[in-house]
Amino acid sequence: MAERKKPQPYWNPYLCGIGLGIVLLGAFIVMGRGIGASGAMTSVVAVSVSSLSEKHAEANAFYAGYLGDGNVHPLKDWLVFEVIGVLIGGFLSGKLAGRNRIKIEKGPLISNNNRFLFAFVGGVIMAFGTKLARGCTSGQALTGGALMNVGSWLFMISLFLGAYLMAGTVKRLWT
Amino acid sequence: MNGPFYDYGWVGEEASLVFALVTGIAFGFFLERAGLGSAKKLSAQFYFKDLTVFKMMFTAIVTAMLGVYWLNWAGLLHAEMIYLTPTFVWPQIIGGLVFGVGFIVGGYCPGTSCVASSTGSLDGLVNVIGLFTGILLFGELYPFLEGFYTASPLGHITMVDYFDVTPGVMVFLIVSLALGAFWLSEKLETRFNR
Amino acid sequence: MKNLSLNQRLAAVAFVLAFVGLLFSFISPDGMKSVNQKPNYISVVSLADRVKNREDMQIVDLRAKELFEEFHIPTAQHIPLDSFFKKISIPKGTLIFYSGDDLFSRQLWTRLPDSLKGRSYIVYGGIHDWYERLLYPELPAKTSTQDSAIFRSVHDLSLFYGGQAEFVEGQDVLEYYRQDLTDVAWPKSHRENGLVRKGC
Repeated sequence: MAERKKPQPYWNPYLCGIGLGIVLLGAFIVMGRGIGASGAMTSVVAVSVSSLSEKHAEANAFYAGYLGDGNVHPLKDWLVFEVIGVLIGGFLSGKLAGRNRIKIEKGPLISNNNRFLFAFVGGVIMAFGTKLARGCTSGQALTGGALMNVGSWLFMISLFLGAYLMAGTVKRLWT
Repeated sequence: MNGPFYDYGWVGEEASLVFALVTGIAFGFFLERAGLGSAKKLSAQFYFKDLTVFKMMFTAIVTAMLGVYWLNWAGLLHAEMIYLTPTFVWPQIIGGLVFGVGFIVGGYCPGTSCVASSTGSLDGLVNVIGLFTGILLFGELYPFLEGFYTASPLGHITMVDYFDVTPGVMVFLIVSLALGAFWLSEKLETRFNR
Repeated sequence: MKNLSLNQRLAAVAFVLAFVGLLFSFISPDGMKSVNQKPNYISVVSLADRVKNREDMQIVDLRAKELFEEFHIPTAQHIPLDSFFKKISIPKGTLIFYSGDDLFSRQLWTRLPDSLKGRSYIVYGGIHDWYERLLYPELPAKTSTQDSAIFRSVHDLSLFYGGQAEFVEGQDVLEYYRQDLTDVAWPKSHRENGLVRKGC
C-alpha cells in the first residue's frame, strides 16, 4: 500500500499573493485581459441549455450572450480553458502537498448532509450575486481591483460587507 | 515590443487558449498553496480567525497594480488597452452583498470551489453544482431581472477617471491602505485566536 | 533591513515602489519621455478632403498585402510595417500612415525617428474609422444650424467616395467629428472574430 504523504503546511499567504499577482500581470501583458471563473461556468450552463433547446437559448438574451455568433464553439473560450487550468493547478498543488483526499469541510456542530445542503444553497445564492455583478472574486475583485475599476471595488467592498454581516447568523456552520 | 501582445496581433487564437490553460494552472496552484481550497480557512476570514483570504487577495491586487503602473510608465504595456468590465453601480453593489452572503453560507467562491473540487472536497463539488443551478435559475429569470441588471451604468471607468487624480496618487493610496490593513490583520488574528 | 522579517521586507518594497511611483507621476506624468509621445493625428474626414483636393502627400497602408488588395484608401501605397524600416528610400513629402485598427500605426510611431515624425501623420481610427465614420457614417436625422457644416462635409464626402450615410436619432453621433485630435487618446482597438470573449 502506498504511503500517504503527510499534509504539508500552507505557504506564506503574502508570497502566494505575489505569485498570483504576477500571474494576473502576465495575463494583462499577454492577453490584455484578466482572469475569471464565473464566466466559464455560465458558458457551460448556456451550452447545456442550448443543447436541450436551441430556440429557448437563442431567445434568451442572457444565454445568447454566451453562445456567440455561431462561428466559434462557445466552449472554445478563453475563460473555459483557464478554469480547466484552475482545476489542474489546484489538483497539482494538492498532490504535491499531500492534501488531496476525499473530504467534507465543515464546522463540528453540523451534520454532513446539512453541510451539503448549505453548500448547495450557498452556491445558488452566490450565482445570483455573481451574475448581477458580472463577475466573481477572480474576475471582479482581483482583476478589476488591480485595474482600479470602479464597479469592481464597489463589488469587492460589498462582498466583504455582505459576508461579515451574515457571518453571525451562520456561525453554527463553521464554529 | 509592448503589451498587450494579443491586442497587437502577436498572439494567435490557438496560442491564447494554451496561455489560458497555463494561466489557469498557475492560478489554481497558488490558490491551493495558500489554502484557499479549504472552506474552513475561507470562512475563518469572516470570524477574524484567519485572514488569509484578505491577505492573499490584496497582495495579488497590489502586485498586479504596481506592475501595471510601472510597465505602463515605461511604455512596455499600454494599460488603457486592457479590458475593463463596465460598471453598473446598483447591480454590482447588490450583487456583491448577495455574493458575500452566498460565500459565507456555501464556504467557497467560484474559483475556490473549483480548486476544492479538484482536491477532493465533496462539499466543494456540491457548491459547484449549486453555482450551476443558480446560474440556470438566473438565466431563466433573466427577462424579469434584465431591468435591474442594466441599471445605473457608468461605462468603463476607473477610480482614476472617477476621482480625476493622477494614477500615481491612486496607486499610492491603495498600497498604503493595503499595507495598513495587512498590519491590522496580523493584530486581529493574534487577538481572535487567543 | 537585516532585522526585518520577510513580510516586513516585502511591505517595505511595496511601499517604496508605490512612493516612487507617486513622485514620478508628478515629475514625469506621461512616462518615459521618448516612449509615450502622442502622434500627430489626422481625422478620416480631413484626409478624405485632402485626397479629394489632390493635395501633395503620400498615404501609406501598413497592413498585409491581402487586406490592402481587398480595400485601401484611394491613392494609398502599400508598405507593410515590417518592410518599412528596411527600406533604403522613404517617400518624400508629407507621410500619412494608417492600418486596420491603429495597432501597426502605434508600433510604427514608437519606432519612427524624430526626423520623420516632423512630416508624418497617423490616420485616427485607420481603416475602421474610414469605413464606419466616412464611408458609412451614422448621421443625425435632424441637425442644428451650428452642426450643419460638419454634417454637410461628412455627408458630401461619404457620397463622393461611394458610400452611404445612415440616419439615426439623436445628436451625439456628431461628437466624434468634433473631437480635438491634438489631445486625444489612442482609440480602442477592435479585434474582430477573435475567440476571446472579454467579460469575466
